[in-house]
Amino acid sequence: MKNLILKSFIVVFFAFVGVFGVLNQKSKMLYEIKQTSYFSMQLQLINNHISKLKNDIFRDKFYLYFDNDIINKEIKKIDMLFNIALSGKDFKKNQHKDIFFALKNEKKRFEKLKSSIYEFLRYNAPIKNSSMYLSRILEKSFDTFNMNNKKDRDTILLFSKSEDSIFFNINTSNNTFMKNILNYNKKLYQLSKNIKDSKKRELIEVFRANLGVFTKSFPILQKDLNTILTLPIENNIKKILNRYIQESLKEQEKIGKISNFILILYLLSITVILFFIFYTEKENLKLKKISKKLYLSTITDKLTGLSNRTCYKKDKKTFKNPSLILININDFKDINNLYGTDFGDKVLQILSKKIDSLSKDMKSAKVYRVGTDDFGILSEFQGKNKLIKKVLQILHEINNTIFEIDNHSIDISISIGVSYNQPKLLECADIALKKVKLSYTTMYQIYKDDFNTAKNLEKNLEILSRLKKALLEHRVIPYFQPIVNLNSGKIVKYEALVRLIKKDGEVLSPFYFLDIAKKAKLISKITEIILLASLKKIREESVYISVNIPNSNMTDIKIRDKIINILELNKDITNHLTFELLESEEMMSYKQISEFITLVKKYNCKISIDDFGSGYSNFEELLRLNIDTLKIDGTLIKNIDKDKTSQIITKTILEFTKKTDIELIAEFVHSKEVAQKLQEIGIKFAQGYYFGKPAPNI
Amino acid sequence: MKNILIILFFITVFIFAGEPIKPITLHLKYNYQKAKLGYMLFMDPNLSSSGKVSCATCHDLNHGGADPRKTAVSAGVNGQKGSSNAPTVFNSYFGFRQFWNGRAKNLDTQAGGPLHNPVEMGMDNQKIQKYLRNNKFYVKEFKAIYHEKPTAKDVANAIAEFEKALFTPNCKFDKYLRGEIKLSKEEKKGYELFKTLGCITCHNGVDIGDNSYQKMGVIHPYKWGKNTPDRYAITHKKSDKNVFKVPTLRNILLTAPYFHDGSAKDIKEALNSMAYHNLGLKLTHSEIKALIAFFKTLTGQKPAILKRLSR
Repeated sequence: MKNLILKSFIVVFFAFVGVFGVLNQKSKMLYEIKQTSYFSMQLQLINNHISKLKNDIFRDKFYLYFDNDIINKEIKKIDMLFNIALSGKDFKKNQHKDIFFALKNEKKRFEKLKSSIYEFLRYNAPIKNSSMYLSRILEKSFDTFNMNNKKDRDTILLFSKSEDSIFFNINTSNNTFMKNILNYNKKLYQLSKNIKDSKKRELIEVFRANLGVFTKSFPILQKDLNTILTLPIENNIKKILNRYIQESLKEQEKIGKISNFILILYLLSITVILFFIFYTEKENLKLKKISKKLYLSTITDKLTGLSNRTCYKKDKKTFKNPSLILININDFKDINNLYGTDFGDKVLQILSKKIDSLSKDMKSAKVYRVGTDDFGILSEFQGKNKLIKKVLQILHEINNTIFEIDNHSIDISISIGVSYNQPKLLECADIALKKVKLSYTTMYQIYKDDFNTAKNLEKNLEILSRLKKALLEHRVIPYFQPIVNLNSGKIVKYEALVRLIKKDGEVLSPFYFLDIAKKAKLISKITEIILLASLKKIREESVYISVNIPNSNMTDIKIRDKIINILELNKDITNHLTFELLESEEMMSYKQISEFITLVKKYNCKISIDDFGSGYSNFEELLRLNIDTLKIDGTLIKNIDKDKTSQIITKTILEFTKKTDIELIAEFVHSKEVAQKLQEIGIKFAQGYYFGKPAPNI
Repeated sequence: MKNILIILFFITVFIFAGEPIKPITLHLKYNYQKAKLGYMLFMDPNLSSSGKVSCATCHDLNHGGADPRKTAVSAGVNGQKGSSNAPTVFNSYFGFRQFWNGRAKNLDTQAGGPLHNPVEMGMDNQKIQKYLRNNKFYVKEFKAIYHEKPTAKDVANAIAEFEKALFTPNCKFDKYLRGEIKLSKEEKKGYELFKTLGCITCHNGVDIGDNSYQKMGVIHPYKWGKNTPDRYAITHKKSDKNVFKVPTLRNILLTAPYFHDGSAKDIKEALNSMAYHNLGLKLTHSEIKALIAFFKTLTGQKPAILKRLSR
């Protein structure tokens, strides 16, 4: 990441440098152009004003009345323009050095011009006045001098000649007429020497003075005018301007070249960037491919190519109403053990393909390998019938097919657990599958809520904790139900039935907690409590009590020994005690039960078999157990007044017990009719609600 | 109103483009704050070695900006006589140069002259600075305007700004030039004479002179001495002897005595001298009268800044 940032920084940096460079050159170019045009304008302005100045000087020469301010203003302006031009930014940067010096030279030249101009002004004024006065004096001379006097006439003539000479030649460049003027002046001087009239002398003197002014001033004026008019400043400035433009163009060209170069650099950097972008994009795509592959591998089972459990978990969320068919290979471990794991792998592969093809016609179906030998078909629930149909199809296809793998023919059998409408789909299907495994015949099972589900588990745990608490707080106590002699109606015995008294006083029957107690292995504790309580009751009331004892308590040596101990401690009254055993399929180990009976018989306890006649009774075994009482199963007694079959069975049992000296007690006597019938049949003892409900006290 | 005046001005300028004398502009921009400081300095006699001579001593603002004393040449510290008659400071802004021989390019440069001249104010830059920097008022003013402590250079600059403001517009002749009024017969005669006699050849422009160097004594030579403050004193060219900057004729009736040496004590004398030396003729009484009438029209309004400063 850092590398990427560094690279992009470098590229962006160069790009910026490029852009900056181009912009800089552009601005330089614009600046150059601006400077060039500005400077050109200034130089042209200088030239314009110099032309105007020359023009003004000309006018000053010809107009009699002229405002000298005009010339001074022009000079000031030109000075200012020179200064502005020389202080230009270009010169500060030391470019156009020779242009600068050339221009400076022109300024110097202009300074010299100024002195010529002032000189011109200085001499122009007297010449203007003198030219005026020479004519005036000539005019005046006609009054002062006498035309009849020869000398006077000569004077006037000289005046006239001088005037003429000046008048005709003043605008020529011919200075030879100066000689004539000097000549006339001399002649006038000679003349005046001989004149006595002061007025005449004065006039000649003034005339001569004016002539003198003229002779003195005129050449200088001409020279200055010539200098001013022929000064090559304008041409030189034009040349300077041209040189400047040339140099500027070169500059601009250079800038242009540099900016082109920078532009190329910039374009290059852009290409680099583009290349970079493409390259990273390619790398990116590669990476994306790899990451996708990686991802797929996490949700795929390598062996079969099916999606795995992780994928199942993810996919399940996308289904609206998912259903799961969980297929397990029966005894897969055995296949691996017998044929080897490579073979087992092949079996899995073939099976996965088979299952996959079978799932194709299910809605949105997808097959997963969810366990070592577990496959799951996840699909949208389309109804129980369709589902069962599919399950049967699968079972048929696989169970009834012989697979050929590696020259071995193998018969694969599977079990299927199905679940739908369950939030914990897989768990429920698994529970259903377990139920299938427990049975020898079922091959598939659909999960029902009353299987030991989490909900039930929660309930069971609740019951368990309640039971445990009750045990601690001595709220598990026996209720006693009387057993009566049908003939005398007297109570001969009581059966101790365990009850759980809730904290609020509610009485719970063992139906509520006995199953849990069995699973939590608390039965022995309960038995112990009931036994002790019953013995206590026997001691207190001196009655006969019958206590239920589950088979597990009899077979488990520890518990059996505990019971024997209790009996030992109470052996003085144990002859009042009867143990009631339950006849059921669980009564597997007759041997151990027989041992237990032998032990308790030592204490003169009686033995009773409960719920006799409901299951598969083994008469032979029973007789050998040395029992004292048989309790007829309630189902036989309940409808004995109406049901002929029950009557026959009961009668048969009675006959049987008569011959063996075993007492018979009828349970679940709930009505007078039943009691009467029993009496009719010849049953001696009975127990039931009709005679008394279980109660805590005798 | 201002706009109308401007238009009028331009029109009159156009009409009277032919006349070589131009009226003084009515509006001249200057920095009042600077000019005010310049005025203080102008009037301050402590800027002289004796402590008694200020610029105003020789350039009296109530005497047409010229020397009010009857002496021919102006006198400086300790009564020392100078070499020239102090020219007027009014309208001096319009001059193309300053001093009789134009040795100063502008007012700034000129102001230093008298300050340093030992016979005029007899100061040097250090003394000037010392005096000013010890004065809280000056220090504050200089700081506000020049953003630094008082220097001789800034002193000259401030005084120059003040002098710029000393222009005298709206003399009768200016109004006539702008076509606002008519001249009297006598005045008109005077102006015509002024032209035909050739006076206008040198005395022209907005300041009626002040725009070229000319020789004094073109026809009949004028006296010359080694102290003459002429162009020769600068260029040492023989032809520049008695060549001076043409002085202004504005407010001329207020600035007696006349000429660089103050040799003409009144205008009549000046006129006769000029006519004799430069034109080679003698003026008649009526001519002189007419010319003086014309000169009267050249007296302008007192500089407006003086009114503003006195408030």
